[in-house]
Amino acid sequence: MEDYNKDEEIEKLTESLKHNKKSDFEFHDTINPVYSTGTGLNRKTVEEISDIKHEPDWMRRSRLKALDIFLSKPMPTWGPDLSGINFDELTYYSKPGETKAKNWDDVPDKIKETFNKLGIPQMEQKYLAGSVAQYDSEGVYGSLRKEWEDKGVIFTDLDTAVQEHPDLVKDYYCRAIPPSDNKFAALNGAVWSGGSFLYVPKNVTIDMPLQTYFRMNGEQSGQFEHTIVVADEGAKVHYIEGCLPEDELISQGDKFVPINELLTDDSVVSNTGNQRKITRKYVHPYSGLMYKITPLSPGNAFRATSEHPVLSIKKEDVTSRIRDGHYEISTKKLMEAIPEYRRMDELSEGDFIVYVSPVETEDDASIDDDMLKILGLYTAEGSISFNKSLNLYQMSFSFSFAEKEEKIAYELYNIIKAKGEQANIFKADKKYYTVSTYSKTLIDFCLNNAGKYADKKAFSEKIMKLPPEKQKLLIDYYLKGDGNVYIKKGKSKMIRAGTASKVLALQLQEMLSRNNTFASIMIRKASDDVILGRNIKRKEQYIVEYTENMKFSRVRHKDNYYYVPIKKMEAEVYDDIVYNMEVETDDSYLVKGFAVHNCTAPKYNTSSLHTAIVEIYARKNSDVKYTSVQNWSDSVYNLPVKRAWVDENAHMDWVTGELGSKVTMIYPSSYLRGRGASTSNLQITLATKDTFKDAGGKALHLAPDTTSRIVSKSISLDNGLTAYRGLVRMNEGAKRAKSHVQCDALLINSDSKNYTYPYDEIYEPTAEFSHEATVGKIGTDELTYLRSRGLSEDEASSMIVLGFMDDIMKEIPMEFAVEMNRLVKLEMSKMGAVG
Amino acid sequence: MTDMALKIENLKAEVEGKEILKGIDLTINSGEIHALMGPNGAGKSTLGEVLIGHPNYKITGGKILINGRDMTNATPEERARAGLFLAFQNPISISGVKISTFLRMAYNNLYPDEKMPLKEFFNMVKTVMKDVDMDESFISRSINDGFSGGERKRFEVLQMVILKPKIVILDEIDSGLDVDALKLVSAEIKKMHDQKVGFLIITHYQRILKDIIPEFVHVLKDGRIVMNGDNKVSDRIEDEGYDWIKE
Repeated sequence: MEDYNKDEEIEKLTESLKHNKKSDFEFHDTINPVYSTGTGLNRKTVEEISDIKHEPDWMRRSRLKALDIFLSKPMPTWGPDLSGINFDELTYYSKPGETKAKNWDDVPDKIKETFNKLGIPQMEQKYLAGSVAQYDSEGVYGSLRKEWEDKGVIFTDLDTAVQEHPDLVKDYYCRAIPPSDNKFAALNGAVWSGGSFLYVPKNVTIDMPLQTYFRMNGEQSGQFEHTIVVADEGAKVHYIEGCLPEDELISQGDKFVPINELLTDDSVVSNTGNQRKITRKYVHPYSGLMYKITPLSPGNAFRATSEHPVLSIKKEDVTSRIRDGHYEISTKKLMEAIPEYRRMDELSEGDFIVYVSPVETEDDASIDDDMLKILGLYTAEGSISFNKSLNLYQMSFSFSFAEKEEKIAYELYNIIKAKGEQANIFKADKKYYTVSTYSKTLIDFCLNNAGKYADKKAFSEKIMKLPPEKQKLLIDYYLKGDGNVYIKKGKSKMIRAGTASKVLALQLQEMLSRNNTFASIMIRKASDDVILGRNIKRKEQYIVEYTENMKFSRVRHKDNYYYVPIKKMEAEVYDDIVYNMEVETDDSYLVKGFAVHNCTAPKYNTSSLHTAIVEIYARKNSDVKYTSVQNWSDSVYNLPVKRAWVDENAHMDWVTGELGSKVTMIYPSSYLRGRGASTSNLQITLATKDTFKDAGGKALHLAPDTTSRIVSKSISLDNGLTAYRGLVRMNEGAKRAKSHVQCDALLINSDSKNYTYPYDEIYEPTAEFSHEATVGKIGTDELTYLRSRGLSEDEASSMIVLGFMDDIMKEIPMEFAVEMNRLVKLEMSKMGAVG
Repeated sequence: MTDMALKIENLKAEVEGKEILKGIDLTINSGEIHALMGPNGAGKSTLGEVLIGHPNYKITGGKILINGRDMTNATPEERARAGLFLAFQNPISISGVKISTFLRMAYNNLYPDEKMPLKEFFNMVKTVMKDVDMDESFISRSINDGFSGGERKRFEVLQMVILKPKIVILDEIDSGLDVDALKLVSAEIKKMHDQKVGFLIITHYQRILKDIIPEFVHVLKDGRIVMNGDNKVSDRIEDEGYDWIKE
């Protein structure tokens, strides 16, 4: 392997980070809505929406009342500038398809494709108790695991709930947030569409999160979902809004194949064996378990972090006839199984992981059969040296004195001659046949397509893309040089070839995989060895091994997938930097179908509006956690209203991550209505160039012994503006109420800004209230300290930012934390100089 | 270890328009111990920070050469990679940045070819922690976050030992250390001196110079080196202060 040059590495990393990947998921689908109200908002629009939904009269009246309130209220002017919102040009309702699907297969293809890109079906199978997906205005898909349905849990989009559970909805709809509350609550009340309704009955604990995904597609459209979460007495639920970025698949370079070359300095060789360029590479600290998977083919062992998703099939799912504690893999079941992404730590020995054989080919007519034969033999036996006396390069092939090799030596000699090139053949020491040539054409061809030194030999990209038949010929000739053949019983032939080049071994494996053969790679430690009568001092050897005409194999083949059983799983505690990377070519076929990103709206020049309502009712003794992370595109005005009523001894957790959008105003509120009610509100906001994030939280203590904690961390980059705006109100009679507010702002550049607007209204003498606020810069002193120990400026500044977020990162779901990390680093590196 | 020299030629530097260093000449070779003394406000700490490339200071004249290479305008990381190390007088705290991550990243930056396995690296860190009497638990704490003055100094020494620089500047390393800690620190300095590391020990008092005898003593006053001598100079400063030294 090339010497690892850190400076260069970091330089490349920084450079590559400048190519923001964001555009990849800011795709815009061409869906023609089956119905749209057109632009503008008036009584007719609202009636139309209500008509098309066949709503009961009470809902229709409620919408019209809300519209009146909306029209009568002025735009709020106390916060960010909202003049970019043009209510007349927005589309308030558009419907993508006729019916709502309960089965993913029934979702219209185009929309399915979009959500597939976001990774939703896979996510659902894996991590969620249920999910609802919304596309523009309407929910397009809803599901809930049966076990929860049986317990009386209701989880559906709100439109369906209005039809199917009208009384229940009526009890809660717009109670915590009436339209009169503010202009945007009124707007939502008038034009809401979609959103979720979740009801968790008494004493039911849902231990898997429930999730909603949103995507805004139409230009200048609004998304006005209305979500109601009701946790009845003693219930417990975690609701996630947004999508879990299975983004790690991308950001950690995890398309299946390159996942193998994951992390740490020593494993940068692509397991596809292709000379695939690393298009993105970055570093981040990781502490946790590091897993090593060794499949049946030990040369393919790889390491990855515990949460890292790996395409796999669990053995339990494909086992039949368990007898005497033994299980047997059913080939039939295995062939029917659909591989899923599972966390590394969910895998165990005997499970199958998926070897993906590349499908693309690109023929090069200039490489004919004879050239392939020469190249195959060169790769196995050839070397290139400089003949000083002739001032010429010479390529020579040594063949040991065996009858078979004599034949090959002459064949090679004749091929070269037939090409009209110079060639010699001679027998030396009565042991070797040597064929040599001074042909510049052939030497260049071999050098360019297979490299020079034995342990670094690797085929060029051109060769790796040739059609499988051509590659087979190449391998056949390679094996004539380096291979061993063992005839086993009957017709089966075991073939082995050793090489000192790991890349070459992986490439041979890949080429064989395209010829319907899975070869294992064994590793033989450096040693002395005897091969066909020759004494050879060997470096570490990679033995490519496969059997032709095998009756039974533990590796199963399906299309271009090979299901390979895991032989060994190991884990070790790891606390170090991990290197993430993306590999150019592999993006093209392995990314497909996998989650690419968080809920990112398509990129438009004109603004869109997201005005959601989230009403949460945490009844006595219940426990609700509501997590939302948004990464809307930077043309979106994100103005949701979120409020929870928290009853006696109930607990409400808000976790909010605000990454995207042009303007955000978000203040999740908890009304602590019963004795002992408590709330925690954690928030992290990121304001990038030209964006304004106005965020905070409210806690209203209306009863004794209530407690609240608000922690807000904000980061401003470039001229980004963050504001903390929070209210803590402690009514008289809220005896012994306690509240702690902490807001920390980090300003990265001299243009970055932060404002803090805390409103504290304390009317109860026995209450305790504390407020801490800090505003920090990435100081020159901190940067210089880290840099004086050798860290680059970029490394130093992202370390400081990640350090700033550290305590809140622990509380947000891992997947979001990773995404947040990635975004921060991306943004930081785009900035160039910091200071 | 290869020999190395830090050479400073007529170095001038200012901060916010105010000239602090007014032409300093100094050469520190491998294996030499220099002491830089001087009254408060003479510019001692400034010199240390200018040498490692702190961007707060503007170099207005002169040169900094490391092994003959002009590094007057080099970045702090380039100087670190060239083998220069400053133990700060007041090491700053950086919350949330774990010592383990930081040390590993720094080490990998300084020794990119070494690829020391993680375990081995942390075993080394733990050994040095023992040597400087830092509890192992510090490894998962944030940089200087909540550290006492003495702990900060010990962490500087820990970094010095782990990062294996070739020329070390110690700025008031003895302040905040009790007698026992000072002994440990002196022992580490001696070990590195045995390996031919060059030292510039910046100190106001002579405390540390009782354990570490400098071969060269320089007195800085108002931005200029006004006297060069040996440990007799530091002994006299101990007794009489700085007044006897005329500019």
